[in-house]
Amino acid sequence: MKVLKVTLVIGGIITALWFSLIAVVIFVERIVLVFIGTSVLRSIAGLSLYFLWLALWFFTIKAFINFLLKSTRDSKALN
Amino acid sequence: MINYIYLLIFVLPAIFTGIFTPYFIKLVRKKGITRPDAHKPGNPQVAYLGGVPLFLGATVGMLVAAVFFSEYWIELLVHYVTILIIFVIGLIDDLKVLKGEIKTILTVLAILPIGVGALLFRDKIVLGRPWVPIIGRLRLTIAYWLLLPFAIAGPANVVNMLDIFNGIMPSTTLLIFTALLVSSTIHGSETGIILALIWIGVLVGYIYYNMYPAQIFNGDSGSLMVGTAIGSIALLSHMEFIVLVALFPHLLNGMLILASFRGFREHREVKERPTTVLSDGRLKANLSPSAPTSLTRLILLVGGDMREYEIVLTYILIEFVASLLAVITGGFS
Repeated sequence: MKVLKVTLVIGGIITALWFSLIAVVIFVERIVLVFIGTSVLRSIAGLSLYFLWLALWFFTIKAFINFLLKSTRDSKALN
Repeated sequence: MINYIYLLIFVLPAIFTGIFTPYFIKLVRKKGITRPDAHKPGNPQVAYLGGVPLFLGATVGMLVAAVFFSEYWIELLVHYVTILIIFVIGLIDDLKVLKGEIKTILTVLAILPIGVGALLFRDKIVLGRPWVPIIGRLRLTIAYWLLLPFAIAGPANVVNMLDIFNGIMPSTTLLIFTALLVSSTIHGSETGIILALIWIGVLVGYIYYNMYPAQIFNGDSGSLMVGTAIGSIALLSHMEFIVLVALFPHLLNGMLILASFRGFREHREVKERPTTVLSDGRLKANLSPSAPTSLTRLILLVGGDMREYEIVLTYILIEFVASLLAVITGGFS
């Protein structure tokens, strides 16, 4: 049961990561690379968006871990 | 006829690794080359240097492939030299212990054979333009060349970072190689099919000896090399994006660890662990605010205290999800 629960939670995070990455790739390829003329500017804009995607996910997962740590510590303190 | 040859490049490395590994375990145990298993009560000693049977098994596979698929000898040679470089670095680290930063910098050098191969054999090794879903071939130019040095070092190090419990490395990478095989078949990339089949064969022959309770540890020579093989196949068959998806659990773990340590650390340098072992053998998340964060810590925070084999099973299922997404990625590319 524990195994299934963890797989659903982390598998869900990974699936969400995948969907959002595909969305960013499509946005960069279909919008950024089409509407920005200069190659260097395209690279900077594209890389910035990928970096933003990475940073957003990283801080979201970090916040989730901190929330779990705090709630586990609080429940241990109550017991 | 061709199907039997595909079978051969899978079966022969599997048989070799399956037969050679137990002999190698006996040999290294006799020589006293063992390491304690930190996640088991009493910390039993386990044979080390699993990279050696893995490397020799891959060598058998490469030789068989070079005989039957001689038109791909350049791709096979480039792949072989790449894994050889990392195998040697890993072996030195297993025997002498390199500093975390030095080991990581050295793994970046493994891109050289692929870079040189791409310069010398422009018709055979074509880098760039990875396949992605819906888009087709990605139009990365500057960004691709900026990220290229990490295409080998990245997979090598994240696979190495997740080689923490019995059986995790061979089981998760076996799923990744299977995803690569399916994606290569969909795209008709024969280089990808040949190399993925060799590594699936090697890992099928080896996995039994590393699964819980492990008879041999992979060592850095094993985990860095298998990660390198994944990166090398990705580059040689334009599967960079597919591998990126398949490596999501490894990358997530690697990012959490790197952020915790603010850089690369050799695991022997780490003072506080993300998990602790209870007296009954179960593992629990370390609740100390100063403890480093890892994917295992997240697993234990979500699921509560777990036994080692339960954590390994969880990792296999998570990697199954990632590999399935990688195959879907490959299917829609």
